[in-house]
Amino acid sequence: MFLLMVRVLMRMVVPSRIRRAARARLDARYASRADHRDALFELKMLRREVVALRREVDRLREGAARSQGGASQAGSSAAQSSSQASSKASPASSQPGAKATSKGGVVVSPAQVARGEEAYRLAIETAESLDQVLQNEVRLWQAIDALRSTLRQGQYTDASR
Amino acid sequence: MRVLWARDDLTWRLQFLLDPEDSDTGTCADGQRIELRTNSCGVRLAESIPDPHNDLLAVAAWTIVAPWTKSRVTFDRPISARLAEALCSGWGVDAGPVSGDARTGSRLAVSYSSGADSVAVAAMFPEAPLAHLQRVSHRRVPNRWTHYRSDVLAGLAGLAAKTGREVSVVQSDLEFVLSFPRPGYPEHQAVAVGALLQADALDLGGIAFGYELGSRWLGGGRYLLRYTPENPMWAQDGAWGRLFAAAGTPIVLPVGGVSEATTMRLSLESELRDQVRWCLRGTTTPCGTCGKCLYKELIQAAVERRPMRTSVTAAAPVAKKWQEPPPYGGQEMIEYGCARVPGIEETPFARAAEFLQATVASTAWLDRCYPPAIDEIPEPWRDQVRAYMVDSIGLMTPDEARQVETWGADR
Repeated sequence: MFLLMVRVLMRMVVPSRIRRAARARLDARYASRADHRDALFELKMLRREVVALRREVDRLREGAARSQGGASQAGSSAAQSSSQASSKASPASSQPGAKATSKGGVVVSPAQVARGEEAYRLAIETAESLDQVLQNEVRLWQAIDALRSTLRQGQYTDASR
Repeated sequence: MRVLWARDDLTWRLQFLLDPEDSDTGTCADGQRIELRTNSCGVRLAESIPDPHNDLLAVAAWTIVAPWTKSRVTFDRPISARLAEALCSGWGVDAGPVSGDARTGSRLAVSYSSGADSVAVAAMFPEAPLAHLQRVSHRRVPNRWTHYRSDVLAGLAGLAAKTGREVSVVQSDLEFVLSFPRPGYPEHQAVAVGALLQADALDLGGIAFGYELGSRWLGGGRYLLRYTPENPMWAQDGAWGRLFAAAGTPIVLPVGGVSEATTMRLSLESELRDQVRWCLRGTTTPCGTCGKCLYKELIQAAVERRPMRTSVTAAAPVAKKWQEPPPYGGQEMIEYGCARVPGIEETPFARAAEFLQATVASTAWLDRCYPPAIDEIPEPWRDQVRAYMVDSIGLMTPDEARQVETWGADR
């Protein structure tokens, strides 16, 4: 709006030579016509891409909704009880009769969420317990080696008879 | 600690066995508690080369086992008396068996992460080979840290070869021998295992790291606000400095005297600028949302004297620490950024800027080189670094150097 007013004012009072010089200066400071054209073209291409992606998302959403129909009934009771046992499960998954929720554009049923959380819990706990097993293995070999060296020094000969 | 190396073509496998006095909880050189998860790992070289000198294998192993070694270390191959002495004086451990001569070499290699600091070092030494260490999964440890895209960083390091640089990407799962605090280097120097195992093949007489002023002289992330001339990790006469020197590969810190603002400027002006990446999470581009992206964007915006470009808000978890009062890790760079970024009051650093009250004048010393950092560089490369610093950066005045030496003293 401000620029428009300036332009009208300039046309009224400023000689064309100065006007041209001023415009050249402004052009140098801001994006050129060619740049604008290129940017508009880019925008058009991006818009087309977004439309195509949106169509793809709709298609996937439909596919997910169709395939979820039978699975949600079969899995819900088992997942429900295990998610209550897990301390890390989110409250959303333990609400009975919760409706399918949209996560990042993909529709996920409560049963699927619960199963996902259960798998996550299991993965974490398995990895943590494996850590313990690995550490114990190191400690065990440390103890065996210590025993071996004392045996080699003949300290346990009486006890071993 | 007993250390065993076994070679299978390109892969060196390390196994280490705890002695009765050793414990699976230890501390690394910077004081961090480190817990052992498992006692084996591997290092896979990019190409087949002859076996390195025993001292190189020993130092590579020591960067991995040092935190858990109490009083003695037994290598499966004899080490030189010089190396045994460095282990004894640095850590008070008996090391052996001892036999054979120490090694020497002549070239400088750069331990190259693809980040701004090591790219700046690479730019200073255009002839130096670049050694990148890529984290790969450990066959015994489930990898729950797949957000760390070491493959992307290795790819970028590989691309550096397109500029005509000599690049080697060595893969290792050694970071998974830690269970606490998380997978990582047991000692910071473990990043150099690839360079160490290649040191004879490349005729290395020194390994350059990208540790800058903050990490070397201002305590880095863990010692907050403290001048650290005696830095145990990186001082030339510290335990690690003497050990690497004993193996004929002294630690060289070409950017040890300049701040992260300077290394960022150097890296973005270098021919490797298209391969610079400090984000550990992004794929085709930096993620723009992690804490490191936020911190580095502050520095880059300050260097380029422009407003910050970030979608991170003060409410984001990664911005939480900047809402609290100082001290901060890397505080000198927060001060530098807050003093220079236009519109800082609109950014997640608004509160920090209020607390710090830094100005361009109070942070001007961070645009210059701290002269003692040059004196510390081993002789073969000292003059080159001095010339570079004098010509392209400028040295700190005595007053500015005092800013380094009194860092944190008045707080």
